[in-house]
Amino acid sequence: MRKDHGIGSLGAVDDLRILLEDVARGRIDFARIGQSKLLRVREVLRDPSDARARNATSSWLRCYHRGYFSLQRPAHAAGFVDLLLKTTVPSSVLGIFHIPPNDSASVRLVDEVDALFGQAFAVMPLKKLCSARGGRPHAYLTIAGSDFKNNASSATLCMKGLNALMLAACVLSRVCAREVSGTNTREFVG
Amino acid sequence: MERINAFSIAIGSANHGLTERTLEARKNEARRTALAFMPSLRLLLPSVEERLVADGGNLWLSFDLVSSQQMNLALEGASAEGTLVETIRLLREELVRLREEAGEFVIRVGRLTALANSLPQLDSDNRRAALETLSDTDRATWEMMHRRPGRLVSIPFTNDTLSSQLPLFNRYVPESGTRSISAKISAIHANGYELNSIREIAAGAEGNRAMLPTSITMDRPRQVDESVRQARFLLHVAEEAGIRVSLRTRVVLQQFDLAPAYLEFHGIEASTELEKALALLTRQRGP
Repeated sequence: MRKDHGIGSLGAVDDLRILLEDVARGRIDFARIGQSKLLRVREVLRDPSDARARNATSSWLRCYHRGYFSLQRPAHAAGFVDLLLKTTVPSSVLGIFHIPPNDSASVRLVDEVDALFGQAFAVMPLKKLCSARGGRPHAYLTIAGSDFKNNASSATLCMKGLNALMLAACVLSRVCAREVSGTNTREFVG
Repeated sequence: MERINAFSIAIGSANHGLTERTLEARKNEARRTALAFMPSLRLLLPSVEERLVADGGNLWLSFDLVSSQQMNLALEGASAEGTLVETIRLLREELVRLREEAGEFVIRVGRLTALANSLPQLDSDNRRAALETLSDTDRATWEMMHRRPGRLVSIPFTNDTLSSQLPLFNRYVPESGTRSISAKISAIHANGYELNSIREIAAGAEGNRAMLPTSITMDRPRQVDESVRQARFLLHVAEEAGIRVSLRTRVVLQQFDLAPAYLEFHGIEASTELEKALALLTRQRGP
C-alpha cells in the first residue's frame, strides 16, 4: 500500500511546510526566522496594523523572486526600504547586487536603484557587480549579518529567514484585514 | 455609470472642520499632489470624480475613477452584464497603471534630489540647461519638492499606502561671481535693504544670467566683519539722502526656477555725492 504523505494527512503547520518546500524550494526557511540580523525587522512587523509594516509586506510580495529580493523595479521596493529605515538598520549591512551597466536598460536600472537608496540613506549601501543568470534578477538586495563586504559569504547574506518572516507578516496582515473587514460588515449589517 | 475608489488624500481634521476658503485651498493642494504623483491623471480628468470623505478623524479628498457617461450600445453578443464586467475591468486596469505611476514618484524624488545637490557645483548655463531639460513629469515633482520640503506625503490606495518623505535641501543657490549694480535704497529693515530702480552696470563673464528685477531685497545678516559693517553704514547714508549708489552684489537664486530671490552685499563704490552726504550727516553741530 502506498504511504500517503500528501497534503491533508498531517497537521496544518506541516501542510504549510510541505507546500512551501514544494513552491519555495527551500528559499523560505522558518528555521532561520530567529536570525539576529532580523531582530529589528521582527519588532516592527509585530504590529500588523502599522501602515509601514503593511506597505513593507506588500512591497516584499511584489519584489520576491525565487528567493531574491528583486530590485528589478526599484519603485516596488520603496515600501520595504521604508521599513528598513524605521528599523534603523544601518546601510552598511545592506548590499546591492546588480549586473554591469552596459546598455541603456541596465544603466537606467542602476540609476533608479541609486535614486531609491540615495534618498533613503545618508550613506549609499555598498554595491557589487554580478553576472546575469537565468532565474536571478538583474538587481537585488541582500542584508548581511554584519557589515556587508565585497567578499561576504553566501551564508551571511542568506535571505531565507527574511523571506519567511515577510511571508508570515503577509499572512498575519491579510488575516487581520479580513477580521477587521468582517467586524465592519457585522456592524454594518447590525 | 460604474465607479471604483482609486485613492484619497488627507486635507485636514474632520473634528475641527475647515473654512470654505481653507477647504478650497487644501483641495487644490491635494489635486496638485495627485498630479505630481500621477501626471497621467491629467489625461483622465473627465473620468475622475472627487468626493469629500470623513474617516479616522480626518477629512479626505477621495478620487474615484468612473466609467464614461456615454451610453453603451447593446451590440450583438454583448450582454449588459458582460459590458459591466468589461467596464469594471478597464477601470481596475487604469487604477493599477496609476498605482504603478505613483510608485515611480519615489524614484523621481531620488533622482531630483541628486540633481538639487549637484546644482551649486554647476555654472549658470549648465544649471539653467539642467532645469530646462526636465520633463513635464519631473517638473511637477520638482515643483512639489520645493513647495513642501521635508514633508511626508502619503496617498492611501485600496491595498496599500504610498508614502514619500520629501527631502530638505537649500531653497537657494548662489550665482558664481558678483555683479555691479546701481540702485536706490528705499527702506531698511532689520533683515534687509529694499533696493529699487536697479540697473546693472557691468555684466560678468557669464552671459546667460538671470535678469534682475527692478526691485529686490538685499540681505542684512547680523554677524559680519567690522569692515563690512562700516561699508554697510554708507547704505544708511544713501537711504537718508536718497542717493543712487553703486554696489557689488552677489545674486542668490531660488533653486526651484533659478529666478533671483535676494542679493548679498559685497561692497559699495565710494562717490563724491555719498561722501558729501556722509559729511553733512556726521558734521558736529555747535551749541
